[in-house]
Amino acid sequence: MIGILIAVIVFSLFLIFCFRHFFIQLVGLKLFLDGAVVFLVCAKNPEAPSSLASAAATLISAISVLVFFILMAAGIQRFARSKTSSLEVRSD
Amino acid sequence: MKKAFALGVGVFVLTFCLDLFAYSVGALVLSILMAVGTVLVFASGVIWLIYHDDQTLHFYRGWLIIPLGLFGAGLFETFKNGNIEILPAPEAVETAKNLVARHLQVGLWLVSILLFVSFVLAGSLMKRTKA
Repeated sequence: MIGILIAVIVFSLFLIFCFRHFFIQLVGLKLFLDGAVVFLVCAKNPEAPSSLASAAATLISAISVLVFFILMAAGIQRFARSKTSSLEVRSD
Repeated sequence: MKKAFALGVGVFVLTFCLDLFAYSVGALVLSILMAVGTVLVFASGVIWLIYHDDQTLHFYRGWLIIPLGLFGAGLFETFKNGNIEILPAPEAVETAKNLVARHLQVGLWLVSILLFVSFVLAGSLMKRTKA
């Protein structure tokens, strides 16, 4: 099971790094964050207390939603003015 | 169906399966939060896709799968040696809330200020155009 979770995280990184398409990179980033949160919640040593990991996972998930709002607003504004659809920096 | 949209839908379904998995291990509130975020992100992405109408995949740097695969294999070996397992995680919302309120208040304020400044910056990027 932990192998599948790591494979999902690696796949999401692959999506983020190898595609220059805002839509795919956006959903790939969300997949990466969800994978990291699920990993933080579920993957643990049986002897360790779980409250710290649970609080950290909740914080990461909540903050990522807010950050995505900024990304979406900035991205839509950015691409509304340009003819390209990648996240690479260009001096146009 | 166009390639970019098909890939996006596939990733969305995979993300939603992860949210369902979080629900199945007992993290109810967290899974609801993540699922709402997933739907929001996907919906916004689809709006952008309709607006921009770019259906090409723009696939570059495929060789990166090799270092990423090595990274994943290293992670897997590390967690296997560290006796880390996937275990059910019943959600202790009260404990998490107390922990956040007691220890992480300053951090939350800092993050809130950063997010506020980011919103102001993002808003300043907006430009009125003629219809």
